Amino acid sequence: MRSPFALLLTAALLCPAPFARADLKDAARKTLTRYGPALVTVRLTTRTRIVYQGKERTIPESTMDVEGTVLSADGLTVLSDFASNPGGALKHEGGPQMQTETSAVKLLLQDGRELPARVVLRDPDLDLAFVAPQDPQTALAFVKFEKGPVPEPLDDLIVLSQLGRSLGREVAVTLTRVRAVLKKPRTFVVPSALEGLLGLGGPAFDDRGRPVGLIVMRRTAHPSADFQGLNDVFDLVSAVVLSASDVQEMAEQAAAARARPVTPDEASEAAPAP
Amino acid sequence: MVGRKLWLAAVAAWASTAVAEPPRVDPAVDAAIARVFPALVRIHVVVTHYREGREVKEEASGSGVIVSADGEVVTNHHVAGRARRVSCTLSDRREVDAVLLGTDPLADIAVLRLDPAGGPYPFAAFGEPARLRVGDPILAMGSPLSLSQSVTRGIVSNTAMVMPQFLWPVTFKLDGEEVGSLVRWIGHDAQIFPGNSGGPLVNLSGEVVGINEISMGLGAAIPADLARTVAFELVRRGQVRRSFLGLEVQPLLRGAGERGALVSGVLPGSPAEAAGLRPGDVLLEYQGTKVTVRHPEELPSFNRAVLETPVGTRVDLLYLRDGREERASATTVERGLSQGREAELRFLGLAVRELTLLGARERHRQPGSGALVTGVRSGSAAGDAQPPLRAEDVVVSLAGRPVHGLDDLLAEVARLEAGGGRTAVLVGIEREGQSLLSVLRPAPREDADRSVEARKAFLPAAFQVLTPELAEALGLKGRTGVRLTQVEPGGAAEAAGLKTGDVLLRVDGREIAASRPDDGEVLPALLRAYPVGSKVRLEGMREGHPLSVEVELPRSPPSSRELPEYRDGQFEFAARDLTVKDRLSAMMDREQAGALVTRVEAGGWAALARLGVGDLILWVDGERVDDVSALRAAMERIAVGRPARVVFFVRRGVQTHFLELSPSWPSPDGKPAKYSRGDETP
Repeated sequence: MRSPFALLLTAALLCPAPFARADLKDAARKTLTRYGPALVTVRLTTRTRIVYQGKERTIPESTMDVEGTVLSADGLTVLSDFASNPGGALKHEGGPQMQTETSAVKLLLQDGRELPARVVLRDPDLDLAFVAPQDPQTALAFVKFEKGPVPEPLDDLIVLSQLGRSLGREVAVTLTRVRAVLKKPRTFVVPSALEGLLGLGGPAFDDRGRPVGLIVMRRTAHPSADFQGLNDVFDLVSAVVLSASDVQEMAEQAAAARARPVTPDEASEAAPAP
Repeated sequence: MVGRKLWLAAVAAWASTAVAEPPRVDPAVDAAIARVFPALVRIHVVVTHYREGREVKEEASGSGVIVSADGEVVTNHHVAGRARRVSCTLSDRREVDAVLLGTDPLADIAVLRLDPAGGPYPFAAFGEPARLRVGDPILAMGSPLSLSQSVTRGIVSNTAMVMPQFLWPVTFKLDGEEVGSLVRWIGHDAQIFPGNSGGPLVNLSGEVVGINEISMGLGAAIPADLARTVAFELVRRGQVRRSFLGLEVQPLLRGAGERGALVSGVLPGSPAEAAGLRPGDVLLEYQGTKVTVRHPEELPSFNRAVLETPVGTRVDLLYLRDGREERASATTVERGLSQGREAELRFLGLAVRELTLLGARERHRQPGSGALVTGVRSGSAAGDAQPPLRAEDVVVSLAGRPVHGLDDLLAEVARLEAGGGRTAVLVGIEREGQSLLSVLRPAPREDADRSVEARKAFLPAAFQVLTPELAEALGLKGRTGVRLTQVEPGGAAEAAGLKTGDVLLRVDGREIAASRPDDGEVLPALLRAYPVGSKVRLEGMREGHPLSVEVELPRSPPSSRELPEYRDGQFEFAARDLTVKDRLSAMMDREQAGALVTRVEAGGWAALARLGVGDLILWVDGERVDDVSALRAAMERIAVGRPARVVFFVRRGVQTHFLELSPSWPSPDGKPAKYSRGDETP
């Protein structure tokens, strides 16, 4: 999400990885060349409905650009659910309920093509959203995520991300290291130098250029209503690397959902006959 | 005995005092109220605006006064001029539907007509505002803040009120019209509030001397003579025809004499230019009548004289140039409105407006030279065009065909839409003097977000984290885990024997490492790691005794967004089936049936009947609604029967309500029915 808030967080979190080894630099450059074309801009048009005491108000639509990583040649693309749906993080009990809905999606490829797309699956738990072109493609560059080794603290990481519109959305590479590895409730790798929120939805690789996961937002489930400012931001949200196997597992569900929307029978699970 | 008599006499005396009419302070006030009050109406409207390329509906209310037995109601343009649906509440509490006969933003006057079936109606008479003097007592009548008919009292404070000059550049514009260029308000100190707009200002003879419009510290009312003239035209023609000379005047500069009005501007191509007038001329006579504009208060009268000249009149002008009097004549043309019709082109994602004579002149254009873009919807074909269209662009061609005005554009878009769109279309636009070509690609949009959420293994129960304090209080000091706070009836957790109050400490032998309040997702995350259908062993404590159960983890239900939704275009609401979560969170019975309202469009029939998001529809017109398919069937039958009233019986929290929906059914030829709160804007 490219916002002043994101830039602030970026500035706070950015610090260069010192003294990178020559072989690491070489691996990073190769990774950039090989996987850079798989980074795309996802343009989402959203509208927010606010419901308070039964009365509904709709805020006019707005458009935002977020970063995505193509996962397959047909164009299935993953991005951060938080980046694409920030209103979803603002739910709190008692007050007005905000619901952000996506009304239009486009994939903006680096060659200038714009592909109409749709959101096929969301996983707020893992902060993943998957979008797919309405007309499947055949030969898009992609990053293949699959089960692999989990980095250890202080291991090197190569992170690809897209720069902002002012820099022509050029793909950038960052060298960083693992600060921590969380084991509960699932494995998350915490990098020491992040692209901040700008890097959300971008892929991370190990020092040999193998995909290790995707940068996503980790946040507490229910941020409190009495928001206290930036301290709360750093306390409540962090960018982490979600493992490649987790991304792949959800990508399989997304591919299935893309092919087969929910059926009335499945939906009826939610409303068992009395 | 005597005491008892005295006591009875005292009671009788008190009783006679208690029921006696209090003395009236001012019978003239009573008489004036008696004459006008029955003619007061509270107006409830659904109005449309165009915002960011979309047509949006809003509810609003104001005041009005009936001025004929036929039920003609005078109110403000800003109350009802954009009304799509109108209903009026009379002083006897009757609710009567109405249609908009015509509206005039320049004078801020609109006229409605009440349903003739309810007539004849009590009405009020107009008086002569010219007779008003500062200090005269007056009454402001209307429905402040949408209350029922109310009266406040004051005096005339100012008989020639104009917008203060120090407010410049702030002016009072309605739909592009400078109201203060025509209206010189009656200022008064009777309190008026939002909602009083359109209500009458009344003298103590019980005559309407003004129509309340705004508050500038003092209340400000449009003089009744102007309101009456405009209303007459609106009833007769649905619009007010006015003359245009293209002449702009301002008060004389100080020291420039006492006669005439200073010509400040002459619009190119206008009758005034053709007559040879130039800025700097001093206009001395208009149609043989002396012109005197020394102060801002004198401007509206001159403007009114020009505007009320019959269109096409050849007018004589006497003016002063370089110290010499000169004569000229000009033929007036029809002025029209500042802003033309507006429409949303949903297919392209933009709103456009007809360019009127005035609107075109303001943009250095000719009328009929394109259609003005007033807003662009984000993410639409127009918003994503290359380059994107934006407000204030003028569309001059579409798909190679010229666009002279709104009708051309509407026809061309209809043609594209009928062809299915999707192919790239060239749009010619003019922007800040440049002629641009933009490429847009129309595509149908699905308004509903139908993306699905990942479905994983889960435990159908709610719980709280076993914090150290809670653990100690439960005799489990040092343990981590969760305490069940709700077990879903009929779900897998209940089937496995779990109960509210059980403490869970391990899953398949692994500690549930939840001890902080924000560890609430530790257990769900542990369970999500299992394939759906896995059997897991949960261990913990129940009332001080060890607990061990095996649970087969079901798949989490789909998110409510994925559920089939019934959308009713006529009544403008949507509903879906209840989910287990809905029932649990609202503490409904497991057997509770109904259709849950998910959307209510502002200004729609459902919204007007106060249907709310979250209401549970139980019955529709006597038919039981068990689920959304029953609702669909009921609404389809209603669409065939087209009843005047439809009654919903809904549950809202623990209460139930009957809601009466009064729709307007389109006539078989597609036109809305009259006097039934349909889309009756002329």
